Amino acid sequence: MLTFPVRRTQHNLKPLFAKRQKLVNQIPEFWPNVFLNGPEDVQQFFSPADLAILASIKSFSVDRYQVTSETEGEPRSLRFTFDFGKNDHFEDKKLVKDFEYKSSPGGPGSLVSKPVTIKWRGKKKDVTNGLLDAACELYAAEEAIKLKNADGELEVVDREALWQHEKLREKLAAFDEQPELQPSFLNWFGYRGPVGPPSHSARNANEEGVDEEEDEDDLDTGMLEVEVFPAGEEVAISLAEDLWSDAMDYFSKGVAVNS
Amino acid sequence: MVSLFRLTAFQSRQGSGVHAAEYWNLLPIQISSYSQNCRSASMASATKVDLAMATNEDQTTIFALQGLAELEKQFADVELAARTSLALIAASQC
Repeated sequence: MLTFPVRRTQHNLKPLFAKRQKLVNQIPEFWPNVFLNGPEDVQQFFSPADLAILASIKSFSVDRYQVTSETEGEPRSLRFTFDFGKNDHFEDKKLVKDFEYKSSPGGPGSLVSKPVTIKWRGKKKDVTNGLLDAACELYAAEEAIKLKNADGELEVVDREALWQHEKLREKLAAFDEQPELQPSFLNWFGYRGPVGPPSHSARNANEEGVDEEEDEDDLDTGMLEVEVFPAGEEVAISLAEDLWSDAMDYFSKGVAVNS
Repeated sequence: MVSLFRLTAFQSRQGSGVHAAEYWNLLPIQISSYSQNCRSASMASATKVDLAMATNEDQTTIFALQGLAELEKQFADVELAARTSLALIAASQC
């Protein structure tokens, strides 16, 4: 029931955000200032290597892309669009990341997403240390298997049987063993969320009679073992509901700090 | 860190004039406020700015900030309507 006023509000705010976007894009370094003075929930994930990339953001927007009218569309689905100026790390001028809201019976639902490929200017320029590429490879492999299944009945793939899953798992483990490396915010583009079947380990635990309540968290995860940015949903929500909505406040905060 | 926002440089530039400095000090604070009175005060202050002293880029920024201040009231109206709807729904469920 609460979805209706939220949807109506978002629908009514769309033209205002469009006007705001035109104006803020005339202010030099507006979005870099907003990101670097943004909510702590987002800032905590910035590595030193990310700063030069964030400084090259020319424009940023959040769209409740499924809202088509005051009465239709899911307002919790989000589309993030980043426009970048030239930077030393990747060639892309635009990156778009969608989060689709999926309801769950008896639960609050969750956001799922597809990993977004970034065209790095070279391996050494990849601030994610290969994690994002590996996440994209795994997703592509899963999609290829679904395509092979011509009748379209295959909804989920046993991803743990794929070599790309093992590769990503090993990369994550290797990354964790190097404390000098800091995870990049750009890993967020690889977030997928609770998609697909529960992991083998979670299934095995359940079959062996492990306390269901104790293991409840694992059963819905699906991606958790190879999620390159586990806090992806929380960051998406903070970007949409704090950083984007209150961009002027974060910008003003930056100006005040710099003054 | 990213280079400081150019407004700061403008504010501290020698000979910018007291009105311009006041304007830069005031505007960011006013923009973050949803108060109609504060917004009006900010606009009144802006009229004192000697735009001739600003570079073209700075002038563009000034006009953009003024436009953003004007938009604030419209944002506040939509948000107020949303809060009212949610309050009515909450009240109907009691």
